[in-house]
Amino acid sequence: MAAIEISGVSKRFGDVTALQNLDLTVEEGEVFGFLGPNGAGKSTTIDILLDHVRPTVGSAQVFGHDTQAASVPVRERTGVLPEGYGALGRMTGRTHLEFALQAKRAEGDPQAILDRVGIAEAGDRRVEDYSKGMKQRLMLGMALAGDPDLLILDEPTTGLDPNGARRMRQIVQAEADRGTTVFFSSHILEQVEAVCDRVGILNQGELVAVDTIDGLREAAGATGQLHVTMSSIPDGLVETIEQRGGVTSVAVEGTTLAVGCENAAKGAIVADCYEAGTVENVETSETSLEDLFVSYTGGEN
Amino acid sequence: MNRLLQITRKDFTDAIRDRQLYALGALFLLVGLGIGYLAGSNAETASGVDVPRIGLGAMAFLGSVAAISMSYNQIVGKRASGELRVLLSLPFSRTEVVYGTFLGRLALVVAMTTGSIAVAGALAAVLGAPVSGSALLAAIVFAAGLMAVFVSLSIGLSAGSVNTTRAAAGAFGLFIVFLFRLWEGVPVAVRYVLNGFSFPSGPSPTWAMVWRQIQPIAAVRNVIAGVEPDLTVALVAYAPGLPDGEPYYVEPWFGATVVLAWIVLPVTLGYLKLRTADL
Repeated sequence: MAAIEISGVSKRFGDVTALQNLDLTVEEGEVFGFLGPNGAGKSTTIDILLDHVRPTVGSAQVFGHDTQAASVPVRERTGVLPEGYGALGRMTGRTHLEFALQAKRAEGDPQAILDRVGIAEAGDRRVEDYSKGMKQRLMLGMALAGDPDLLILDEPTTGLDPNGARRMRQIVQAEADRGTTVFFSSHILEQVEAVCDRVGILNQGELVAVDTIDGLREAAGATGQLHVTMSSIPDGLVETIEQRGGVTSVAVEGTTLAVGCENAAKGAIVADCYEAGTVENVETSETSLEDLFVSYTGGEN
Repeated sequence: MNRLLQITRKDFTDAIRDRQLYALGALFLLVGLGIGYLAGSNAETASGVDVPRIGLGAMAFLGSVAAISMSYNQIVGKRASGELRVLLSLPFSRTEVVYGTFLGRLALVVAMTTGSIAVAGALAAVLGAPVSGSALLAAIVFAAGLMAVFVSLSIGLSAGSVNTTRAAAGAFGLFIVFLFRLWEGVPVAVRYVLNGFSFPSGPSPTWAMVWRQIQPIAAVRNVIAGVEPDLTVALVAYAPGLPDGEPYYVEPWFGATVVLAWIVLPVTLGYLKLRTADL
């Protein structure tokens, strides 16, 4: 059984189409990253899974439960870090976690969760007085309460400092290792790349790609980049390289050659340069996720 | 624990954590002490139903104002702050959130009205004034019933409102319609229009009479008339008078049915509105 199964979902808010005929399956145990520019429909998709919003057409299932007809059973097995959350009344961090554990009918030590998300010292303070990052950590803690089978995290690193973001990644990784399915949305690409098994790219309410990151790279026909800095660029070198197989572009920037090519061609190109003159530096990179993202979403949004 | 009761308990304890409510609680206490003191200082002339009657009258106003002002923002405010998102990301149903909040607020307001009336009765008795136990109990129960109506109206309003501004306007409307008796103006306005925009003459038609008696405070008063008639005077300022004869719609059983409807329907209508709403 799939953890998440979204079939033919469209959602309109008045005249605005937030989602257009979305089909998506996330298998159990998968870490799925949901990418897209702001306003692409990521949060709407998550809202539909949680029954915060009803689809105009189509339906969604989580662990086989219909998200509208059986929303409570869905949320019993799901830990959520929602978008646009607010503190519960005037409770402390610890009482928030106790409340979440009780709602999930789970045993658990609030202090252990506070430790895990890195706000061990703040448990007895009122959450209203927390900083943005501390609230974000607490909400992650509430999502983790009761060891859910599915984690749904909407822009989980918003408001976190680099340490917090790193801890978030580690927690996602640990949960994934435990067998938890993780579904999270983000527009921060490095995080997606670091932890996801598969990603989906959403643009203007439509799912434009779903694959592993490597698969996306291949599908987009994206190639790597090679930068070779030389003391000077010898005559004829550019032409030599252009004639090699797998090379798509050669550009000269000062005394640096920027070559777009398949990874397999990189060694021969470096050898060409080495034979032709003095090589000072070599840099190689894969297509960045950002390039991929831009190629799928049109960039200008 | 049942999740509905978890919401109820949270709502109640949220209030206890809210220092501002202590001022309101103190006001209820002061009013209770004031009533008890007044009755006690006129101990020779006081009758046993004085304290219950004055207590119920005071709670009809102060309690209703408190019920509305403490409840109207309870759901829509959480919707605006994002708290509702958190609750509905945990395994609570919207039913549990609405009715749990209703029960929590009701418990809070009833604790205040009950405390106030009980303190009034206790102080009066200590000062040597007669206090009828059965009338005091009736005052407490009927005050609670009236609070249930206003908490239901306000929570229903809160659940059915899309933003806090509209809920606040609605709360103001509740004051005007029920406490300042705009309700009774409705049949007058309707008859004025039906009569070709001139004031009608002659006796009120039956529907207008029924309309006046299904006003919630009037309905409570009509129930009281069958249980503890001496207390009905308490609500005279908030409910229209009784018509001649004893038509069915002023009988206690009819009043009880109407009160029950006022308790159940508003919160339920608000829930039904929220049930299908996008957050």
